[in-house]
Amino acid sequence: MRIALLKPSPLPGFAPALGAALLWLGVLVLIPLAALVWRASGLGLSGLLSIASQPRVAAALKLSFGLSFLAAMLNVGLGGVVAWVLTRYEFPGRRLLDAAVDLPFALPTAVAGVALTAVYAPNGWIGGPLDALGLKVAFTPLGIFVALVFIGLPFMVRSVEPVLAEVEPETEEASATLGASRLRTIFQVVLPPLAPAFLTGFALALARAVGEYGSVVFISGNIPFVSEIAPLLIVVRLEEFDEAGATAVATIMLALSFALLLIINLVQARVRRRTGHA
Amino acid sequence: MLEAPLHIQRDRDALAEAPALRRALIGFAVAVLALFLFLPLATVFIEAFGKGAAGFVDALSDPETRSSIKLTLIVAAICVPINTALGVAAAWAVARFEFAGKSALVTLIDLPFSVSPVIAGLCCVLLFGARGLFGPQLASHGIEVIFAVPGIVLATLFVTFPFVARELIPLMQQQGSDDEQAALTLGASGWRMFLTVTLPNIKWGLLAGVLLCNARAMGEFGAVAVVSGHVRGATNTMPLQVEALYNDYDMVGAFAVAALLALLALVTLVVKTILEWRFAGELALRRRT
Amino acid sequence: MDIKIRGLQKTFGASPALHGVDLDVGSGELIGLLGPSGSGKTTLLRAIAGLETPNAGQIHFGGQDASRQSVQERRVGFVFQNYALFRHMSVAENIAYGLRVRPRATRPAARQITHRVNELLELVQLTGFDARFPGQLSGGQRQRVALARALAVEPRVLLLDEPFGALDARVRKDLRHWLRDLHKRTGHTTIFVTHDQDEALEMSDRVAILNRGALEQIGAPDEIYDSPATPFVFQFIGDSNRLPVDLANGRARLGAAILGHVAPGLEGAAELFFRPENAVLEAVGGLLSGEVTHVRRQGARRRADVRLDQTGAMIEVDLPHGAATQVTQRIGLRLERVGLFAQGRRVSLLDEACRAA
Repeated sequence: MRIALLKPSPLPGFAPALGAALLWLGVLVLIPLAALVWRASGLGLSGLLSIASQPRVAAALKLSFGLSFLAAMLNVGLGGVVAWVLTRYEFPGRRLLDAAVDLPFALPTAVAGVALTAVYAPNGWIGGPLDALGLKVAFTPLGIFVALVFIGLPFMVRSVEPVLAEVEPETEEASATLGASRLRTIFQVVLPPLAPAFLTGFALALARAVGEYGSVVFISGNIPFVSEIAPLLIVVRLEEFDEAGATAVATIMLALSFALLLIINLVQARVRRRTGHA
Repeated sequence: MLEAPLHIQRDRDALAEAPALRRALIGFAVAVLALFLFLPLATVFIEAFGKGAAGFVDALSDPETRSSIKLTLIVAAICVPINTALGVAAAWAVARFEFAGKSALVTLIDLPFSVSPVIAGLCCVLLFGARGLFGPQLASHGIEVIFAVPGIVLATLFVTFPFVARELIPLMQQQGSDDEQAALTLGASGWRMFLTVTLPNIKWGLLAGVLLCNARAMGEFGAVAVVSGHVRGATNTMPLQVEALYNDYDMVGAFAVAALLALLALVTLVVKTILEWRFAGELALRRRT
Repeated sequence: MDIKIRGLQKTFGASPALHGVDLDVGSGELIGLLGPSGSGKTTLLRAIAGLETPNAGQIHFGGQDASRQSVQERRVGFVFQNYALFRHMSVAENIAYGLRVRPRATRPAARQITHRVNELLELVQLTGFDARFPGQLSGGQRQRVALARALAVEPRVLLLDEPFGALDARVRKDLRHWLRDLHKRTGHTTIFVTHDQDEALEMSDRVAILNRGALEQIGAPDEIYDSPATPFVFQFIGDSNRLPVDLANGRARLGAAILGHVAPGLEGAAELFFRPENAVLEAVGGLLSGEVTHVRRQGARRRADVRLDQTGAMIEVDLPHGAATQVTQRIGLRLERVGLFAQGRRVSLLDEACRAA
């Protein structure tokens, strides 16, 4: 059987639309990324690995991926509760709150960066009281963590919310008629089918956090080996006109991110099969 | 006879969490959103007006700040129309046709979302920088890209590419093409069909996509930071100007510009929310996909 | 376990769903709750399960007041219309769920749970399906898993909400017989909700008819069909004719014809109901007569539209097997098993001009 490259359709405009989209994607996205790959291949695998094992680079990568992972983990909890409250309860201001969840999407990252820094700095509204307790947030890895949680929260809420809204109330009622307590119903009946949605949110939040720059650089303090994130290191290398170094860090970052997303996708597929979503 | 309600009415009270737990959860969610979202947003405006309204106006009349505002508007004015047109084209191809490699195309459209903006900027440098692939030739013709406005436009185009297509694809897939086919059977030309049938059908989704694209174009920081060269009064966009003033410890100045950007974000959010509430049926509502 | 319901009331916001329902269900009885959509039958079932909190009234299980008990404490087996199986659990896990969630002190050992699950799988004829997921089952199989899951907790009563509503006609018919059979073997007190009168009449020991949140009639299927207690039941179950009747001076009149005598003092408009099969053809010249305007076949029977001479009203009449009745023919009619209602209440006809139900 011949496989059709294009299924016949009465609608016009396929060739120009696809052509324009492909051309634009090529010029805008593929050629630049190809430039990165081409530059990295010039370094060779051994070159990449030797740069990756430089202590400062290794520290930055560890910090970026570690904190992004932790922030996405915390967002599973925070985002889960926020999504639950927004879908299950009716209370004054619910719609306002629901709309506000998108704020980190819409707010320019530099604005988020300076604002979070002001709030969590030792003289800030939250930073002040915490500082009095001996807990420094801004200009420490904890500050980076706060920014990454901020940036990841909407991804989690928006992934979980629609799925949670579509849970059939009857399954919860069935669980109750079978004698299960409310808590057990939530943890054994409501939440398990939401696992794929949580994973999606986790992956999105993680990917965004790893590459995040604007909202982090202000609050991080940018001390090499302590609070220097990988994207910042790319900028630093570029400012030193070390394009090879920048390319190496970027390539490793991209490779690690895509590997992580791939793993999450595989887990996702397993979970979906397990829960009979197939 | 009385028309019966379609859905069986039920009260969740027999099952729901205890009121105390419910209140605690609502309180927790409100607290999380307040600490993470409202407080930082409020800070921006409070700091911006730290020296009163006069200080705010003063800060915004600084020539370098004015030039950054102008640059940001120019960049958005170039990037948003281009990416809107190409986003619509991409959505038309993806949502209306079945062809080999379609899912690969969708993945590619989303790619800029999963690439760090700093890396996007780096790619531009590798292409057009002084030691980049095309940089030297362009420089010999007197064309500067990196550390100049074209580089900023290019980096912004990269990061804002997916917004319009992402908003439109699910919407157009959901609407189907019956209307358009009807227009064709009635003798409309391709363009006429697009202008009189397709466009009216997708207008609210398109508006939402354009707004988000614009918000990102004006607010992009990481990608632009790498390629701009930070020349004050020349290649600083508003977000870069925020950084520059912040590093000068000019808090009122930095937060005044930040407040303008935050206002833009708020307007975007409000309009998008209103669109979602009023035209829920006519919007794809990414949350459903 | 017998169930006693007294004065059950439930309102959702401003709209009443149940007003003052009284119902007694004997131990081991199979009761069908029948009514149009919005009649409150599902609300009643859910209130018995504890899924709705009534505004007033009591529910007793076996002499014990269950009104204040939570859903979890009531130990009812509830089968949902769409089955509400847990999609992320296997068939065995679904059935075992109610046993596994028990507090440690009353929870059976793992081996006993497995044994019980296998027993139930055998009962619902799904042996060997234990490892499947609900997504891999047909509608009828899901229905039986839902039933097994409800039975696993050894419920005091079994409640089924439109148990066959989501199945196609063929499977539905098989499952009806099977469920009836299962009820005979297990003997659970069972209440099921349906909007399908055939289903209710065929399966139930007794049928309870609900309309607008109130109980219209409860009785054995024959009693419901042959002696409807209210105009609603007359019209809701089977086919019926309705004729306006005048009550005056102790007489019930249909146009000029006197149907019979009623208790003195009853005056005004009333309604006469009878089924098409209870209009008996006879020679013209009796109490009622009319002209056949249309004859049609409906499955096994032939049915005629007749314009009554007395009032000009149109009625439906079943024709006896082999009758050569034709359009424009004039026929005489005698009515049996009629119901006469004035203001919704039944009125007795005191003589035998037409025989009351």
